[in-house]
Amino acid sequence: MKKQYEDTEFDNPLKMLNSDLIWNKTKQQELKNQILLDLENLESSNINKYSSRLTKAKKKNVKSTLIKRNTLYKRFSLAIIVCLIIILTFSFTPAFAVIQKVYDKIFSSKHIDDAGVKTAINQGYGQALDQTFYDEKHDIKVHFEMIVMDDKETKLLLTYQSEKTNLENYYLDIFEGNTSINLIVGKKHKKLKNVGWGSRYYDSKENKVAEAESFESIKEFEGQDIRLEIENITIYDDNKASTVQTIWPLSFKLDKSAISKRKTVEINKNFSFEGETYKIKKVELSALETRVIVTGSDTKLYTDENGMQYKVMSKLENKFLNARKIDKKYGYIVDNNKSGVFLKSAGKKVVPIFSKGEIEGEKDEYIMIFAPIKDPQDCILEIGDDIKIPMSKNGKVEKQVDGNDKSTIEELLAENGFIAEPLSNDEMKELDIYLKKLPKEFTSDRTIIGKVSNYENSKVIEVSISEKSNILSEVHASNEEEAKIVREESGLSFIPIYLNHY
Amino acid sequence: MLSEYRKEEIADWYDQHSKSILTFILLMVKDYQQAEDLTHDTFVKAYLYYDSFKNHSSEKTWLFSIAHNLTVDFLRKRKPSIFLREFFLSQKDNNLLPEDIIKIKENSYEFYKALGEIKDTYRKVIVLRKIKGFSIEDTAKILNWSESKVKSTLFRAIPVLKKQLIKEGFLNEEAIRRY
Repeated sequence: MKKQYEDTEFDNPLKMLNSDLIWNKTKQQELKNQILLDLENLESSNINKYSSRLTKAKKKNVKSTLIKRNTLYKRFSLAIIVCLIIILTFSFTPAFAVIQKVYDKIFSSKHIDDAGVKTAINQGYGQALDQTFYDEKHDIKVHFEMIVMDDKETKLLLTYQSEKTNLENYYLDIFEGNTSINLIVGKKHKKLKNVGWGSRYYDSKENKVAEAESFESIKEFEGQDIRLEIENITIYDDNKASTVQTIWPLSFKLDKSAISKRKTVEINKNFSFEGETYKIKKVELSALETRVIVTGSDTKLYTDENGMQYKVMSKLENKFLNARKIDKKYGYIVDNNKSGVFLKSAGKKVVPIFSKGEIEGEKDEYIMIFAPIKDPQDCILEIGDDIKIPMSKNGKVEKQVDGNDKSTIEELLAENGFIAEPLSNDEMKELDIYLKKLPKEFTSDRTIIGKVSNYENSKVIEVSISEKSNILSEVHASNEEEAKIVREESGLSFIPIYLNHY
Repeated sequence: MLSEYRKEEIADWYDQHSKSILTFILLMVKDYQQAEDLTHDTFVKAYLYYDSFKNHSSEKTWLFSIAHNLTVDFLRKRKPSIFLREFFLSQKDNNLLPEDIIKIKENSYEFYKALGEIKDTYRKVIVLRKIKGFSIEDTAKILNWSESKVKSTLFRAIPVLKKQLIKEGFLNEEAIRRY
């Protein structure tokens, strides 16, 4: 597991700025009292008093009804129509099974936070290196254990140990640290790019580090004599990052046993999650990983006010990372108490490889990476508790229709004494005219989903449900007569129900 | 009573995080009164949306994401072109703080001032990562950015801050060595 550093010369003065801003205690307490008073008022539905303080312009007589949710995801799960076809006959056949005894057991233990490495070792992939280099200047004995790769990534497994130098803070960080890995083949010299974080474990008893370095694939050099050089060690201590200058060389002939194939399966199936729509474009399978490549309504590049483009966190990514736990001992691990996104293969959970969370796909793509799967024919993508996307064995399209979306809204309305019904054509026209009168900012973030049934003599003017928070709000006048006048002024003969997308 | 429990929790959260949230907002909007109002709204919103707090993150991260969203909304509304000229003309005054309510120690004033001059995107990532000390993961959650976006923006933001400090005459070679 890597430490999070972007140390700068300004770290200390910026930290000081936090404590150097001193807020008057009396003012702080006054604000607290004001907030608590507003909460009291809010509770007794006296919204007029409460809204006097809010900076946002509030509508009159708004009554917010908080709906307690038992299980958010169950209650607000969306209709899923899922059909995935996999036309695939795929099995991993290691070109050359490697005997495991040469590897340090640490690489197949829970101390390595990459399930792909562990699976590859256990299934006998990889080329044994079994080479030792002694860095005399720093008294570090380096043991190169094995190398394994597919077409997108190379894993170089090595351990290093010292009797004199404390290696606790020594990292071979080619992502954000000062370490690099260089490839030399004949006259070709290339600095290799990282793929994710890689994995690291420090054994304090033995003062020994095990690292699974993760960098771009070098499979194109199969059959050639190659030299890899690990250049410099990054030291992360409490205050800064520094460099130990050194070169750790490794020369070997790249055998085909180090290289595993990747199989790509086109999926092109749509699903929706928390109000966003996604498409699973394809699934890629290799000995080191399973990649699920997705595009969606919120995976597109975002352009900020300065024209700078960047990726934002989609709801699916948020869900994927929700089950991620950072553990000092074991790196990025799965928090089994939390909901997330998983694959299920042959009935067993296939965990995400969170150390590859930084890998970016093509423009507009989001990539979820999981441990390798044995039998892709019997695989399901599970998003939270509600969404299951099966990959059928025989390739037939299967549809699972879940009516939760509709029923959840109906349930919410029913809990508040409302029944919804669709608008007639005339009512739709009324609504069009009404919406045209309103400023755009009031109408762009919501959709009409129906009208309140049998509620003509009500003081309610409109009902809205927040898609994100599952909160139902009503806008109502102080009495029925007033509500009737407001409706007439608006040109509406009914009480609209909106779905708010924020 | 559930609502009583919720209120107590909000009061606890206020005791623990209100100062940090107020100063975050203050650094973003550079106006004490607005910062106070937005801090108020943050805790009221936390109360209203309490049920949607899913413990996906700490309550501090959640409160900061509410504060951030409110601040972004506020800044967006404050930015119509009609006010643009006025905004730039009065920017220096906006940086002044009501001393009886909020004070800033002299050593840090230059950083407060320089931060106020750089663009919002850079300012917020510096404030969250370097001043508030949030992790990359939590900063990404608060800003709804990808983690790599947090890192790359911070990487670009620090030299911009440095340039601003030099421009304002707060930084010279000697000062760099001091830090």
